[in-house]
Amino acid sequence: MSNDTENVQNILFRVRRFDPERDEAPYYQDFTVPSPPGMVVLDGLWYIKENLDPSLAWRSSCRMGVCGSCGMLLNGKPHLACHTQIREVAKKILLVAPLPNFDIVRDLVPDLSSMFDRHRALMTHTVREDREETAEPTDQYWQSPEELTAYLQFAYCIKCGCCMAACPTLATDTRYPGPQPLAQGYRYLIDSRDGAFVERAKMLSGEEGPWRCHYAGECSAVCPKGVDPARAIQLMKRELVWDYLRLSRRRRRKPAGLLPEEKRSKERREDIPEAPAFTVEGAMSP
Amino acid sequence: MSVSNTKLWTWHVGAGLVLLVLLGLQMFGMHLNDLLHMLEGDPISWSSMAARAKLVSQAIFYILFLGFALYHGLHGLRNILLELNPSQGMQGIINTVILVGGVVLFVFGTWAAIAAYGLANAPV
Repeated sequence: MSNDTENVQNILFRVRRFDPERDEAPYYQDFTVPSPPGMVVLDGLWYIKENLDPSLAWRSSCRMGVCGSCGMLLNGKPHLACHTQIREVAKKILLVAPLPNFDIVRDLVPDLSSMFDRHRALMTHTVREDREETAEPTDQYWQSPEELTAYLQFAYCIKCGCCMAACPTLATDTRYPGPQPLAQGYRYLIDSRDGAFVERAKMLSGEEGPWRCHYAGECSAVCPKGVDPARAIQLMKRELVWDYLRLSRRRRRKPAGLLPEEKRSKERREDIPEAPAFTVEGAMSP
Repeated sequence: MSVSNTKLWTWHVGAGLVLLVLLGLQMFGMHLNDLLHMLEGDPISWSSMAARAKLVSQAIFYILFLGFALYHGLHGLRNILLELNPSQGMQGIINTVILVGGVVLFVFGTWAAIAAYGLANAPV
């Protein structure tokens, strides 16, 4: 029976390096990384930093595919480095590069601010008339399971930028907002708690809208969370067309209100345990 | 003046659907008549064509076909040109040229369809 040591395979990490303060142009540097089965790319990068070159820069945080920090191009496709096993994507050589369609801060660190700017521009938050209630909700809003399901898949976005890096339209068309902001725009467009459908529809009918999407579908193919931005963009087009043809009820719909008094459970369910006490002094009291 | 892309897109899709119907009628009538027998005789013979030219429905068909095909095609062309990232000024020029060109072609094509109908029905 073989053990892990026998299974270790040397993989050549060919990493794109660029320090704007020192280099005139990006270049590739090779590192040999001993990779046992199951080792993820992020661990390989840590191996390089700790043993071969401490100057290598990338962005990472959670190590579990949740924070969306470590998106990078692995053998030509955008992946999360913490969520991708080296030997799944490379037999001998692993080409590691920063996400395309973004400016580069250094080495493997993309500047995601262009994505976040476009994300904010599409009003990616719930908008209601009762601003105070929105900012400090006194209770839960009443939303049916169907209304939740309509947008839930698109709410899984971790803003890693993989979809933006894979989008061929964004690569050539600087005015296209890109799949991430549009998918999140759709997520709020159809949220029954939102009260700004008219403003959103008007905004999305302009250059900020989904109309330049060619439906290449690459954004959905690379999304590590299965958000399917391409589907969101097509559904957004359908929603806007139905609205233009006055076949949508969303324009006249009132945003979901607070849970009616008669629907509220008076007594706490016994099977739900009490929340643990706060461990940080000065935190919100339970 | 900002144009509602929702409106342009909706009409683009709608025009595409109408073209599908009109082209389907044309295809089945002219080239697949043996299957459905929509028209009598040989539909692509000179006598059949001359007989159809006398029908007002044929002139209307041509004008509708022209209008929807022009809109669908020119809107597609505009999309392609705008993806070349032209400046704001150039965008205005593209929009104007396509709009004016489309209207001129439609007027000319409509005149041609009506003139053909008039000629076909003129006393010999």
